[in-house]
Amino acid sequence: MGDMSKRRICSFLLTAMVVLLIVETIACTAIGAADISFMDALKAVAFKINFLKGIISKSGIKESTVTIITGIRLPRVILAAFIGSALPVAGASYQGLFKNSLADPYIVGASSGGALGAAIAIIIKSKLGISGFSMVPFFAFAGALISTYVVYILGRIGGKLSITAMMLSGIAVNSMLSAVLSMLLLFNHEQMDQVIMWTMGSLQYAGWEQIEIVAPCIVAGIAVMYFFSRDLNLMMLGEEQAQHLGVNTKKLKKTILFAGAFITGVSVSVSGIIGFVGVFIPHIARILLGPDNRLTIPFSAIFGAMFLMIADSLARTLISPMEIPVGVLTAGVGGPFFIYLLLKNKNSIE
Amino acid sequence: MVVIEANDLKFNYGKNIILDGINFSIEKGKLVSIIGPNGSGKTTLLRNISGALRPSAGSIKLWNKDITSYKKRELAKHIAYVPQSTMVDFGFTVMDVVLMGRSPYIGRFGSETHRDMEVAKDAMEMLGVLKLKDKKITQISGGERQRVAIACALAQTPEVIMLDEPVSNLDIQYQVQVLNLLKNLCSEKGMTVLVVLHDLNLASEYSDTVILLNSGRIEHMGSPYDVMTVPVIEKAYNTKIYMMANPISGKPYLMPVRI
Repeated sequence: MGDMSKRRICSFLLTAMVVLLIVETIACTAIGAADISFMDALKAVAFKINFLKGIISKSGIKESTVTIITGIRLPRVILAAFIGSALPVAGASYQGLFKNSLADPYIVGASSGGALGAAIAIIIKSKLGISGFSMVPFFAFAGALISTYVVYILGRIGGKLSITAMMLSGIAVNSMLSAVLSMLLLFNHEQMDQVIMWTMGSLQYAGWEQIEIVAPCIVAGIAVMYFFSRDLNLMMLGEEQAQHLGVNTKKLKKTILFAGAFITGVSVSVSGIIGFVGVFIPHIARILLGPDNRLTIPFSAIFGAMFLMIADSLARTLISPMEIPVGVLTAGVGGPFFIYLLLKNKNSIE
Repeated sequence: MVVIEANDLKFNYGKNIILDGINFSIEKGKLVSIIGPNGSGKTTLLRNISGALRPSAGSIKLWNKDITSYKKRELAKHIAYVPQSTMVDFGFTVMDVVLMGRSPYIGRFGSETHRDMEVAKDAMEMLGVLKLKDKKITQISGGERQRVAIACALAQTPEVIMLDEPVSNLDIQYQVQVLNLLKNLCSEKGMTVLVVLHDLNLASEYSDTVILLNSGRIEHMGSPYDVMTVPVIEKAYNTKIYMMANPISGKPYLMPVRI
């Protein structure tokens, strides 16, 4: 932090990562059941971008290729990128806020609240015969927010916000909400498949219409987190220190908790519960770049996007034509990593 | 010139009364120490004055203006606070941490200027931690971390600096170094220092004014000669002591007596 040359290196690195991210996006769209080359995928994607339309000749690419790439794969890959960037940013911010590298919106109840909200929306929709998508994110967001708020209230019993109390009540709220979700499923078999997807995490219903809703929300959420990244650095010295260095910590806590629940809820509404990305991606960013949140937050977004794009490409191709829910993959990688973190931090969880 | 003033300050956690009617005023450029037995409310008093806690009743005034009317950022330019213990789990470097002391002066999207760097380096130099600047805060000793915390507070370039037992974890040479430094800041830069001290003899040696706190009230306040007397200290700490004049400075010097 502070060192001029270091800052220049970091902005160069960030630019390089963005370029890499775009290349990866194209590469991921080329992966799949139908055999499409990288160049064809690139052309098809370029064709989708309006101002390039005139420059790119469509010769040699089948119409079906363009449809597969821009209609099916590209939205899915892009959605993976957005969600992959949202969850680690929320995680990194919570970790700074709580001064604890294990904190994550999921752990404090946002995921199960979001999933329950989404399930309720799906069931209401089918019961009332409403079509359209927009209700689901709203309910997921409300669910995530309410559960986070409940956990926050439980965590500050006795006046001061205690991390341990908040994490413990997060576990309790998570399991309670999962129980309610299971009950809902029992009584609504028809929506079973769709709701189960939410609990396992999958991007198979991705489409452009989801991106239109989710992308602005996530971009706004990440911007808020970045806006407060310096305050989050001070928070890592301890709440009292942050206060004495001029941070309005009460306001900061509310803003970060709200923004975190917001982007988590919105993500959960389209992808279900994709676990652990929020914990281990920021950790990797910190190992590589140090603890400064002004770096951790943007780089977590990029690393997370890259990671989830690859994970989702694997999820849809590994045992093709069947799909592995991507949440199963990330939990498979993230679970052991989480345990490793727990063991390593055993003495500093308080 | 009065910097800080407390008027009938009261503070309680629920039904538990911690501070029970505190009144004092502190002049600019003085080194004021707060002493008193464990649980007498020293830290709570300091945190009320720093604005971290809100008084349950009464008021604290900084430059004749109620402390709650200052914006947090504004207040951080006037008052710096060094807590009793600082434990950081994330691997910031010492330089990072000291530079954080500059944050009240840096805009949300601004970054540290050359001057911020200079101020931070000066502060580290004063505390003898400049050589540690690239070390991680998680990898230095408790005493070094304590001095880094003080450097961070000095980087804030405050008018008032408050310290909660800043020398308890330090070796004797650093105790003297830190207290000499604080004393110099008072006399040369007109800084006002408010410090909770555990060691009565250090309080006696360095303070312009001593505040003796007991059960949430000020039992005595005055020069070391007024406060450090056998009956006053024996009553507050409920133990027998012997007192003599420090052979070098002539200040009161206390020793506990084995009964």
